[in-house]
Amino acid sequence: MGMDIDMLRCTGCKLCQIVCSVANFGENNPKKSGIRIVSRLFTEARYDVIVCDHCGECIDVCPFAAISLDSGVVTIDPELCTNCGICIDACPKGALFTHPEVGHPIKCTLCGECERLCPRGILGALAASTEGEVAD
Amino acid sequence: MRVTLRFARALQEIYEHLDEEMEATLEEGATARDALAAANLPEGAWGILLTDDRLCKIDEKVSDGQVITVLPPISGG
Amino acid sequence: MYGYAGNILRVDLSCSKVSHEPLTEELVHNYIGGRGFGAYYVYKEVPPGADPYGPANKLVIASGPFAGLLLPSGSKTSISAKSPATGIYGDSNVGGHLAGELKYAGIDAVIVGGKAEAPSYLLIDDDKVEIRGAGHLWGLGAIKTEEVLKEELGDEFQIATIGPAGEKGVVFACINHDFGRQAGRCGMGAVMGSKNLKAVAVRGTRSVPVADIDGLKDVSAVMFRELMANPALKVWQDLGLAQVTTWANSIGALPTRNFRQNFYEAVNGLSGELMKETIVVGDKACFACPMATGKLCKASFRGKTVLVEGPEYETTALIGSNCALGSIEEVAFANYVCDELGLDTISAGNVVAFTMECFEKGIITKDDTGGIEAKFGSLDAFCELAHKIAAREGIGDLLAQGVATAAEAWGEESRRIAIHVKGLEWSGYESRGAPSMMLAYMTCDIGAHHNRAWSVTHDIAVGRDVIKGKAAKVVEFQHVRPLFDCLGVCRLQWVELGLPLEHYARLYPVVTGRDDSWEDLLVKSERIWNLTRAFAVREREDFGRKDDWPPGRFYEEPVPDGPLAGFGITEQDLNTLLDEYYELRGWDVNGRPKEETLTRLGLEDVATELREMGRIL
Repeated sequence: MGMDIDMLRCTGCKLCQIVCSVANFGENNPKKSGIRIVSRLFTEARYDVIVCDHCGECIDVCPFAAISLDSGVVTIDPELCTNCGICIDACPKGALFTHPEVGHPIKCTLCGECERLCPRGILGALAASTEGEVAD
Repeated sequence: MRVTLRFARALQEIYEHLDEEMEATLEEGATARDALAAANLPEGAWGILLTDDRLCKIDEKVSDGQVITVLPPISGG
Repeated sequence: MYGYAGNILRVDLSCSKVSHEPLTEELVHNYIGGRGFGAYYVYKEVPPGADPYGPANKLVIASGPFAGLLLPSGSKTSISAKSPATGIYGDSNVGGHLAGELKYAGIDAVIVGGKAEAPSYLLIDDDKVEIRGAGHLWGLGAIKTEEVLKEELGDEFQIATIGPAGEKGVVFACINHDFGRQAGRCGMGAVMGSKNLKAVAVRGTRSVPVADIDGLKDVSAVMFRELMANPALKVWQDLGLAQVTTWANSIGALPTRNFRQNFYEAVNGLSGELMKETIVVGDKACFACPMATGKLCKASFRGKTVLVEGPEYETTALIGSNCALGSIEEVAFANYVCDELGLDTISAGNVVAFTMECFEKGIITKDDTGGIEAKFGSLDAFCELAHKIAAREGIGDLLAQGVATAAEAWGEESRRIAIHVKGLEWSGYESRGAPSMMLAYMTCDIGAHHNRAWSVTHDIAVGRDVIKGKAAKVVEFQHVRPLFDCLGVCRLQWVELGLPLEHYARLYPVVTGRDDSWEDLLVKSERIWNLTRAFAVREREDFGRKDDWPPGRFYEEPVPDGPLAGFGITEQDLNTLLDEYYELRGWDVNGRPKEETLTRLGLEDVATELREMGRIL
């Protein structure tokens, strides 16, 4: 399973975070986003890009069957989700995020908006790797 | 030989005689500087020159049919 | 209120009190945000004669309506106060991620007054605001402080810090943010230090409301598309601002050996291309910016290897050619030293170059420098002087007060080569061959800085010896460029990549829901310009034309070498430039705003105050 985002080329601009919130919530708020840029500047002069790669490990741990794989996209059903947080702990990428105003974990919906805007073009791998999964 | 110069909009705003694209007719062995002189651009008016997606040095010899994109100098941040 | 978080946070460090107050319609309408908020509050709340280091001074940290939104680089925070460098209004802006974070925390501006009893830092975590002890941070470097706080609080916090120089009140102490971004100018770090405030840490989770989200999406999509299609973008991503160095040298504008020259014979050692080949290890951007002009570099000197963001052009000019250093790696190392100590690289480069020239001329000797061999080209000397300045030891105590004060101590011969206006050291464009740029430096409201107006290309286009007619361009720039500092957005996408101003004009109504045209916004910018001038006029009875005058070097010495050899500018030229400028501004011959000008701009209260004080007729 490989999402091959070239993190070394990330410049930390967080345009992906802000466009994600606008696309998925209609709001300007990078904290309501399914992707996170984390600074490793002080020690490694680089950034980490944290985003769901749709591996599906969260699906089985959900006690409420709120998470499903839908055309290659791991999706949380807000109706069924109780925001218990078990999936957040189970996610190997740490790619499920909470927000005080949102009643369920926020994750990548594979809408493609961040890929389209990323000035470095490094998020294309996100969609490409998932397409591979679907083909399998 | 003929060389095509493409000028960034910011340059056209300062130097009104410039079109978006201009052709310069030059002697063999001419440099990028000669091409800019042919377009009546004073020394220091340009910033960076690009050709084929790479930087073009100002004293570099140009060839027939070459396209040079002329970018304005920086504007002080 | 669309485009704004809707609140001002007030912090009184003397009594450990914090309070929120709503943003008023009047403030937003008249002053927009950012630098406009800074000018308004500093004029209104810092009384005439207040000690810049005293509790009565106010530090205003302000975001703007475009910050933190889906548009190119809404990343700018303006930090304003009465400047210890100039004694008048000062501000400095910083990119990174702080401006948006403030708004996500529900705040458009923080106004810090008073003085904490012990070293403190300010924590803003949405509605939770605390003044916390910073005993464990005091004395640490500016970058180290940010690293420690990030470890304690988490990476989501955006943090502004000062280094030892700010703690000790060095007049050119800066504020550091996001590893290597600085609000460098006017000694804002010293104001923070004087309040015992080591850092500000902010985290927020709120959305910023905009008037028309679909409109914002449409306009920003066009802006991003044009930026990404621009052939110059790759050059900026590759080289950042370092590409400027060789260009500035080729046109005779690169400050060299304390501005004696404007051409550096060894410029190839400082070029952006060499920097990319030898020391750059990564690219770094401010919020939502495709340009990524920040260059992360590794530099080694005397067995020590450091990681630093930079050097960008200003640092390369003032520390590199102006101190005659030999390589870009040396400049990067010096940059690190300044960042960690919390020194503005522009002023630090000026102060060290001034010291080096005085040493060369015999105005000072090793007895004065405490044994330092302060010769041009010596990185050892640079580092030793920088450390002495930050610690205010020996010669460093005098140099910590800037070149103007040092020149008072070292006598007439040094005064004409102390390169500053109003007490603020000159930034990276030597302007004997660029009269409009010279005027821009002379009249910049905070002292000799290039950010308000930058017009070297105008001089090249209309003639470098032409004087008449040049002032209009300077006035035009002095309104449009600071407007970006009010809006909380970076101007590089406009000035450097040619993104049309019309896009920004279209953004304003979709973000704020207000119907002001771009021309209306420029009038607000002119109002702010006159307000900062009025601050200076109110502050000093004798403030005027003499304060807009450049150092003697520039009109007494022709350019010695390089492409502009023999070129010069006369005192008469300078007076002509000022006469034309004052006339266009509606100021009197001594550079004081006329009452009718202040009234036209809606500053009737200011006009009344200045008239009653006898400062204007």
